[in-house]
Amino acid sequence: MPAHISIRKACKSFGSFEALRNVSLDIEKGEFLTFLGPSGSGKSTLLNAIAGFEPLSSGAILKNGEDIGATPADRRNFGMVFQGYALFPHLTVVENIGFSLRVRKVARTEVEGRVARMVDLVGLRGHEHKRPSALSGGQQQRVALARALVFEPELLLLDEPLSALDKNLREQLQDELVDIHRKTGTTFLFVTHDQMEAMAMSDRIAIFDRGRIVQLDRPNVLYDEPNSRFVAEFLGTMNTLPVSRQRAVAGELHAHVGEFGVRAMLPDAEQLAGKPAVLAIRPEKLTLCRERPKADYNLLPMTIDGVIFQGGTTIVKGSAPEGASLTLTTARDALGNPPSRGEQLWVRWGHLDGRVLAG
Amino acid sequence: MQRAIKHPDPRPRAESNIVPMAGSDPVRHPNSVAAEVRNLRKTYNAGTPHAHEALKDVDLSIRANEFFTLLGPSGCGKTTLLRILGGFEMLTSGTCRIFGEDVSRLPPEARPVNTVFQQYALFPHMTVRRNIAFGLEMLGKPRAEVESTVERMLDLVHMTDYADRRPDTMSGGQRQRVALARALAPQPKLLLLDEPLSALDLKLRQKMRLELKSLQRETGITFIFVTHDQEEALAMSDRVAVISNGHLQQVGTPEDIYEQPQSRFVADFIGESNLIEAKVAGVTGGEASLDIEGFGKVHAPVAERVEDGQKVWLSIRPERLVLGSGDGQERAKVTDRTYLGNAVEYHLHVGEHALTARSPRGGLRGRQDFAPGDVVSVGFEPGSIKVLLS
Amino acid sequence: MFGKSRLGGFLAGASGLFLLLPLVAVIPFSFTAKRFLSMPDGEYSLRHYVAIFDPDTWLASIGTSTLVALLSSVIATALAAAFGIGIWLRRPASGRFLIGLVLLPIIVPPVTSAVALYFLLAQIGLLDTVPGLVLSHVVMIVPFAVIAILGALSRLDRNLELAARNLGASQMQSIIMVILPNIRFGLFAAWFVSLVMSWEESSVTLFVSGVNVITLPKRIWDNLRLDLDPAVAAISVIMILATTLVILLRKSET
Repeated sequence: MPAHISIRKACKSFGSFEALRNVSLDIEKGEFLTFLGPSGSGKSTLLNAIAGFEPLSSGAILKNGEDIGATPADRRNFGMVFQGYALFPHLTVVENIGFSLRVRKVARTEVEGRVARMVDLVGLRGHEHKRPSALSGGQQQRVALARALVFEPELLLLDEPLSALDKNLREQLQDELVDIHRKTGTTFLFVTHDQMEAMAMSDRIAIFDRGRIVQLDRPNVLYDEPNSRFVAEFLGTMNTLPVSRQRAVAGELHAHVGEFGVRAMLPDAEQLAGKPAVLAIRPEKLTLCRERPKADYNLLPMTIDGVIFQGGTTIVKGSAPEGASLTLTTARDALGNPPSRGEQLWVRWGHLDGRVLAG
Repeated sequence: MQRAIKHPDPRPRAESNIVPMAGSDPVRHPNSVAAEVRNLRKTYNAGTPHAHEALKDVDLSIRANEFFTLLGPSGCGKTTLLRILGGFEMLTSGTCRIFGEDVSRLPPEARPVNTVFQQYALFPHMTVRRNIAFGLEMLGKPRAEVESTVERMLDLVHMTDYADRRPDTMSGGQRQRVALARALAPQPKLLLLDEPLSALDLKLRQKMRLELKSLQRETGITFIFVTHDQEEALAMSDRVAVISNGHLQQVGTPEDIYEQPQSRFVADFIGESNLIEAKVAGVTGGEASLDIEGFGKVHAPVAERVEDGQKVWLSIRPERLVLGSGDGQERAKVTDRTYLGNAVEYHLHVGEHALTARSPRGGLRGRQDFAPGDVVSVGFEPGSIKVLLS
Repeated sequence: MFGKSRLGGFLAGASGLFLLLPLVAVIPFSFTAKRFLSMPDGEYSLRHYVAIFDPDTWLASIGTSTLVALLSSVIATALAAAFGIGIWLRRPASGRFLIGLVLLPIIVPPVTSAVALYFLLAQIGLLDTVPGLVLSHVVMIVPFAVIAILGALSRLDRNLELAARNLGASQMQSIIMVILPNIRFGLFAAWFVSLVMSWEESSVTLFVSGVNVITLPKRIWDNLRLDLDPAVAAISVIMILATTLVILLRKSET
């Protein structure tokens, strides 16, 4: 059976700039898939191509196995929530939501019923006859969502819909979006440059870099098993240590950072043959100690450069041998009294915590 | 790194033969007050039906050489306060002093204050160098001094290589640095910063936090920083003032504000908090016994006088809830689990109460993981419950 | 942001006064009791205001001007809207060139346009007719309507059109249901500017009409040249008053 939506070898160039380079992926029915990447990485270009706003330079977009490349935007039956919402300023909330039904010449009583159900779903009772300019950012966002869902699209496209909102509201709307996804069962395709947002909401994430999808997987796999330095550093903070004297020993990497031995799992020794490697460790996997721990490897001395209070956690920055800078997060009271600038401490980590990436 | 405290002359460079580090010499004003507002009120459209009280009776004193942050949601009055300090807005009543001098009636250019604006407001028709020199030229400084100060400023913000570029050819972070250099060049006693990082993306914002903090430490100039981002405020500030609805809610060090919130607003706005309604069921010594409906009794220290039967709120941080299973005390149901990369967040239902718990992943110890539908026990780390009366 | 700037207030006031002076100066002339254009020397009269209501001269010209202005402003607005929306939707690579071309009548000296229109109208037999005059006015005022409409379109969020298309509206539906309602103030401004421009158009009008069809500016022109009739001052005062009234009304609306 063909996939719900399939992208085959999509390429798009604007003049000499290649916005998409040979991108292929399958979107499964009912999933919450996120395109994540820095600005200019091609994620919005692909979204616009799927919506039908910009034709691809080459490649195909298939819906249930059928090429929809030539179908105009108004015949694709995909909903879209725009960055900045693009609500019609001259229409009220219910007129905005009912717009797609009116252009489809749906009977008036049915329009009213379906719009009312949407108003309830997104919690906008009492605001039905306001104009968008009289609504707060969060309410406008809900109108945009209702407007895009009312005609029961097969796919909902969301282009950075939360980026204009402040932090607390953004987190609240993330929960609401996930909830609406669950209730409607519609396939959601979400575009963002915010990695926390992506991880909190998505079933799967496609990470874009310079026009390519570099990795596509579930959030926890991307976070724990990034396949490249780019993915590792883009998703959260990653410490990277340059290693020397590297050897593959029975599925493990043995190497050195300055004088200190390090070890990590290395399932595919081929992948590194001859190439320089870095050891990548997440800040929360590092443990700070005042005394030198009793361990032969995976420990480094560290001079504290700064301590940043963040409420629930504290971020400690410091320098390690070979000019590596380290960032680690600890609970506030993990060390008794917090470390101070200039103090010499030890960090250690477990040998499942480090990951070997091509430098 | 400790610096010797010098005599309180505002321009200690004059006779000093100490070679300055990078940038200008710190301007030290030991034990003095940089800015002070008393009974400050600001009402927009006073006397009309659209009257809006932006600031209501604010008393605040900001010490010299400190990194002070005004924190609050948008529309809370923090920017109005900053504008009143900068002279861009007239106060309605009260006093506003800067280094002891009443500045309430002074125009912006007559105050020893400079401002970094949200959108930088660099002059687009001038090079970086000319932008930075502008303030010094307006003060009528001799040419040689202008040139040497501009060079020092360029060096301080690491922009020497860009000195002859125009602002529109630079990235957001670079413009930000130029805006800082331009504001610091005339050696103001006080620098006002109006959400200067909000236009930058996350990674750059985190980097600029450290740079701003070290710039403040190096120059010794008093910074008053306005933001709605509590993480930013906690990370950089010596002290923070939390403002909501034109009222000053609480002033203190970041640790104070986070650990000892005085109100539900502060507890909820700074970080995340579980706020639970409870009734006082007896006080012994400094400790109260508190009854949570549908959960049972907990004990927590109380600083203020409370009476039996009084309604209070308990604030508990999500990271200080301890979830477990297999101890026979399971009564919370996991309704949702959100993956955050370096942590997992659980939404729980205990009776009528909805709670959020956050459990860090990683470190050397294993952590239990739970799925929606699991029934777990909930415990509080000792000292984690804060009793709030309002 | 700086509260009330005194220097700013002075600059605006002084230049405003300078612009208003010549308009105010015409007022006393209209109340003269003499038969020719002069300052009243102690004797005031309203006879020149009465003269305006002569159905064969002044009133006829006011009627002609009104008809021509209404027709040409509506046609110009429709053409400008079609051009502006077309450019806005298509965004052709030659967009700037096309806009430059449409704005050309502003830059070309009016006399040149007048000569060209004279020969065109003579060719098709519309010289000194209302349709011919309307055609000439449309050519002269379309650029100003285009400027007003392009201004409104440049403030319109492009995503609105994409959103309409995405919600199932065809191109035509999205123009009628979304674009036009959202540039309605621009359309009104374009129409209003066209109306005023046509009402006061004189250079081309002098060339392509004047015997059968006499607009108000043409009649003022003739009067000034031939007999310095103070009715010219009276009609000027009425037009200044009408304009002031319109501006005040629009201000109280917003």
